[in-house]
Amino acid sequence: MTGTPSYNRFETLAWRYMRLSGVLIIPLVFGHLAIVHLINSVATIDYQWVVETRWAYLGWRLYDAFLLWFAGLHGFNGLRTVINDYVHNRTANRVLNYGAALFLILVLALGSIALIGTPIPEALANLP
Amino acid sequence: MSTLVMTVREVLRYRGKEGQLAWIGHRLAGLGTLLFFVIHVIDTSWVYFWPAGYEHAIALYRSRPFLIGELFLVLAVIYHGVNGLRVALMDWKPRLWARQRELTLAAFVLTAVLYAPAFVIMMGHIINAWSATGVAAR
Repeated sequence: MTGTPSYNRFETLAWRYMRLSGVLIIPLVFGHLAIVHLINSVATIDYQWVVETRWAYLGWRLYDAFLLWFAGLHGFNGLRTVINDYVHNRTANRVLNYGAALFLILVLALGSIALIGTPIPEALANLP
Repeated sequence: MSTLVMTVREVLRYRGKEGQLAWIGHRLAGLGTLLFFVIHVIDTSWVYFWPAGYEHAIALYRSRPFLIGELFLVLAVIYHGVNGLRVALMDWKPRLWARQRELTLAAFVLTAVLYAPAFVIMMGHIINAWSATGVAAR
């Protein structure tokens, strides 16, 4: 093939998405790191902390949901780039890419169900 | 696969200086963060699906290998974010490519500046945890 370079709409969108989502994720992720790893730590975090001081508030659930979806799509699109760079066998490339996509759907589903479904403790929900 | 072998060999052999270092660092940091992201979303979803399992996962995060892993994770996230911002900026304003080398070095420096306080604070958490539970306990 010679002549004009081909234009791939999906790849162009994916390229743009990586820049836009990346810039958007930076404050979200840095905020998440500061809250979870610096201000708190794994020594102080437990089930009760998540349910009572985080997911009792809609704002934190939305924060986590944005992070889950934007970072998940960003990470798996990065993985797709890496797979396409190194695996050129057609079958192996498809198996890995479709496997990664299915796995992404599973991870997003698990995270989303937990964010939506986790009940607010009654003691907090009944506060005036 | 042969390209993977080539990448590993050329990373070791090719002297692409800071540009190549930035690229391989970005890729490794991204893949490492993705691996943790997947594990972390699954264990956090246990808050809903399996609360006892979530407590097990947190107990595991308090173990020594994971506390040390956390130090690398935060470095990976900070570097990937800072270097990614440089890439996005340069793609947005292509004239910045003329300053590619300086911007890459600036990304390394900014990563170090942001990571230094985070490292000190996290080491504080680790020392507190170990002195509270006794080093032999975990």
